[in-house]
Amino acid sequence: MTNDPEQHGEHSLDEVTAERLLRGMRPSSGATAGEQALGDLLAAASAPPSARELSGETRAVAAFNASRSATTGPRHGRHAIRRHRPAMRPRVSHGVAAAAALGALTIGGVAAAAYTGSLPTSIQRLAHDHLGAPHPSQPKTTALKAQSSQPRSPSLAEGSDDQGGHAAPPGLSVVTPHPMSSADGQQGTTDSQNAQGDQDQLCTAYAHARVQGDQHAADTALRKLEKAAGGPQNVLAYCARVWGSGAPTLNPEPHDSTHPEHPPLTSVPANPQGQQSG
Amino acid sequence: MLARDFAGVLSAAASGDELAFARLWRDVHPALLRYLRVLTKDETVAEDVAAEVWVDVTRRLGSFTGDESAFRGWLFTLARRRAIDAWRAAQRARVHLTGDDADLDRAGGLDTAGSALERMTTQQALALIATLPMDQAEAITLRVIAGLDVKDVARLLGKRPGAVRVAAHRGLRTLAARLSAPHPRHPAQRR
Repeated sequence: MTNDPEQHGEHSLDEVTAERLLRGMRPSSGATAGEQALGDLLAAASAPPSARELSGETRAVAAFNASRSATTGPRHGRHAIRRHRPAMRPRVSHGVAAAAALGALTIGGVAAAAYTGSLPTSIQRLAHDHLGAPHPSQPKTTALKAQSSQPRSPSLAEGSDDQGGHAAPPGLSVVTPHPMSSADGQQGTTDSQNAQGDQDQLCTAYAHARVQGDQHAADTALRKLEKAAGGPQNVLAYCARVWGSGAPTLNPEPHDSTHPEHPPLTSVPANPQGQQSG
Repeated sequence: MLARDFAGVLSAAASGDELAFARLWRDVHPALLRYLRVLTKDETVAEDVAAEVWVDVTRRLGSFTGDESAFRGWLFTLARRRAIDAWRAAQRARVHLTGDDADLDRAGGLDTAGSALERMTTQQALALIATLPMDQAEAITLRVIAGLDVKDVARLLGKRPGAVRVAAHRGLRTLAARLSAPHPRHPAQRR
């Protein structure tokens, strides 16, 4: 490999190859190893759907039917559904703010709410019986657990009707798992960044080995990764958080349009559940 | 893509045909989920938002007109707004995801041994893309995974096509640089 990873922006990738890749085509035969690996990565990202990704079909169809009968069906019977606001309303209006504070995710309909387990128990049970949503006795905690004491900020009251003018926040993930472990946290950001780099590297090394098709290296990397993550079942969450936590990206340039209200991703330290074991 | 079948499937779904809706869902949902995963960096949130998107789609299906790529552009626009709403709600609530470690584990877990490695690849690829600055990650995801062209992506993001092209290419270069460097130099290879 001739490329220093730190030479961001300098990496050669010609426009034609980039455009090929963006159209879902493979790199040409003369492509560099980096371009091949990139092609593999994009192929993996757009691979045919997994069974799991399609596993929600039954529920989705049930929700389709429920939603249709709620909006076009008779007015009696489904009181729970009728509590919800029309889809076109601005998201944060009176009353809705409270719902948002409680439910964290804004709920667009009873079906979606039932999926997230955020309905009151009685309604949830109903949804379970009719939609196949999770049963109330095994509630699926929404990942975004709200603290209901937060007041509504007027600056947020504009809600969702704006077009793409507000670009997506740089990190929609709210957690920023800087591993400020008590063990080696004295040096503040420097050590913290090193530890972050370690974690980042475990994930990247594995991904790299996978896309290179190096089974042995991938196995080795995966074992380390599993150990660091605290078990095989934690690996994805671990890497998603490590990678998504503002691990130094190679291209630090700001967005085309900046959004000062969205801070960089380094504000809230939190512990990844898989601590570095070393 | 449903191509020639699209118009028929769409109108059938709009009039309540659940089989037609299922076809639409199967065709778009995986890409939708992956886009939202890149955007939200959280599989559980992505799934929740995707469910909301489909409710939106169901409600407004009757009023949509356009071809298949317009449909995708429309659907991904709804998804983007929903994701931003979710992000704002989370900001309002000052949320700490770590309170729900078990939930996160389940969401990201390798629950099906058989397809674990395959999914791992896709998930890792998405996670890697998600490390890019968001405008780059979105441009790449919408083009490669959602299959939208530059013009559609530009409209969706409210940007000029040139800006989308630059963002996507820049993101690809960064990814290529990352992939070219497994960086064994780091002392982290401790066991």
